[in-house]
Amino acid sequence: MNEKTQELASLYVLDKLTPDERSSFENLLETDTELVLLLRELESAVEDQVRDLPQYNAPDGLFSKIQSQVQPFPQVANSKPFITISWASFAGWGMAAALLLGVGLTLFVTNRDGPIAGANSQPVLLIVGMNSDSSAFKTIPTVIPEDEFENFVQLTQMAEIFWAHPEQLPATINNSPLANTRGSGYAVFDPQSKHGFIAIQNLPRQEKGKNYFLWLKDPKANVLECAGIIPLLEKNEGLYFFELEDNSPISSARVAFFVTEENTSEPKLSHPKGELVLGSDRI
Amino acid sequence: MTLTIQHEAALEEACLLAQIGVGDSHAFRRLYDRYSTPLFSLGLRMLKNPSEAEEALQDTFVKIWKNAAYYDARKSRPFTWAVTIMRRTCIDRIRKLNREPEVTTFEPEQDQEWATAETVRESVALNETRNQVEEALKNVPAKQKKALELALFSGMTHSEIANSLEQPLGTVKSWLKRGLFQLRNSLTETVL
Repeated sequence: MNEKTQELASLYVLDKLTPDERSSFENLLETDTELVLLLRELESAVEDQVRDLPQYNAPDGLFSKIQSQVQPFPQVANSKPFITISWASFAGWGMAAALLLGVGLTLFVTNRDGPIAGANSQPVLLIVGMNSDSSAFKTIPTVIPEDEFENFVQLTQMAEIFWAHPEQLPATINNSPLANTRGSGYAVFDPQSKHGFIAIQNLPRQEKGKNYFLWLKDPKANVLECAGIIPLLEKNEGLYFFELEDNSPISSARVAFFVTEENTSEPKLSHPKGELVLGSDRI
Repeated sequence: MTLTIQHEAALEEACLLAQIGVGDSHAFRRLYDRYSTPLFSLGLRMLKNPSEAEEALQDTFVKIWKNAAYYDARKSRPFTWAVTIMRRTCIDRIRKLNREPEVTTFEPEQDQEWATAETVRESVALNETRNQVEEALKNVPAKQKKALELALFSGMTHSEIANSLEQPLGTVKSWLKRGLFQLRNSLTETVL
């Protein structure tokens, strides 16, 4: 990395670039992971400077004043027991975190789509490619993570890689699962932590009053779970994180994922009633 | 380990911003609990007036609420993003008040004006960070340290910093870069 880029990175962190310089620098960040990592380190140094100042608590009651200024708080759907949040703007975070932690790309893809030997002791990620009427499955063994955070970084990293490079998705349908114009996507799911990502592209825009719901079906345990509304808002694509409750009955390493369009805004449904728009409940 | 903890916190905060972006008031409260003290302290440093700092903090959190949905993790860490909003808000207030950006450094004894047993937050972790930063700052040459301090806490543009330090703009940019890199290198060494 040249001196000029390093200087730009410093001035960017210190918020001393002009809007044009800032925009150009941010374009560089889209493609240059080394630069992103440098930026994270410089940001950390600046953050430490701020935290090094003598610290004073904000006056009591200030949060109430702020609340009154942003009222009414929009009511979000009850996030328990499921949480589904948009991850699109985070794309790249997992890669950067993985490199910083030295986690690296520690996954390797098997050539078979059945359960792997020793799956009970070897952590696996389940990858599901989906289009408008079918699904393809692949289990990928991972190394045993040191802690929950490393586990999460692995999952995030994998989801982001496929988001940036859908051609690398091992569970393929018609060569490219994201090429289907009627809607396509993939799910990356860790059966142990019960965390996952769902990626969607080209779904028809939701009609007013309708929502897309994510479902998981565990055929082994014969359980169907609704993971909640996918918060597409006005978009027809996105990468979304979800998390099942610890006591979720979804327990096997092979889970079917599918998306239905439902005429309701209820946060959780017991059974799908609407049209299947993505994936399949069959493995 | 510290790096891991830092990045774990950043991830949690990025998730909080995502939740705030879809209107989650509980996530907003949690972020406020994490950020209000360091941001208020930053406001005090820049504005040197508790009422002004309070108003700046209020404006900052309203902006965080409104803009959380647009937060982009690739462009900045969550806390850096919030610090940038707070700094810009303070700079706007300095300019509205027609106040000359402060050139003098903020000496520790001046802090005592607002320091009471109730308001000063001290913790082992904070002291540890402070010691690390103080150690790291010893390795930064005085001119670079001064330039960095003005860039972070005075609200000056880099041209104003150049005028204040009576140096060409290119020299000040270079000092800022070298000072920040030295600080980053020293902090990394301290952590390792």
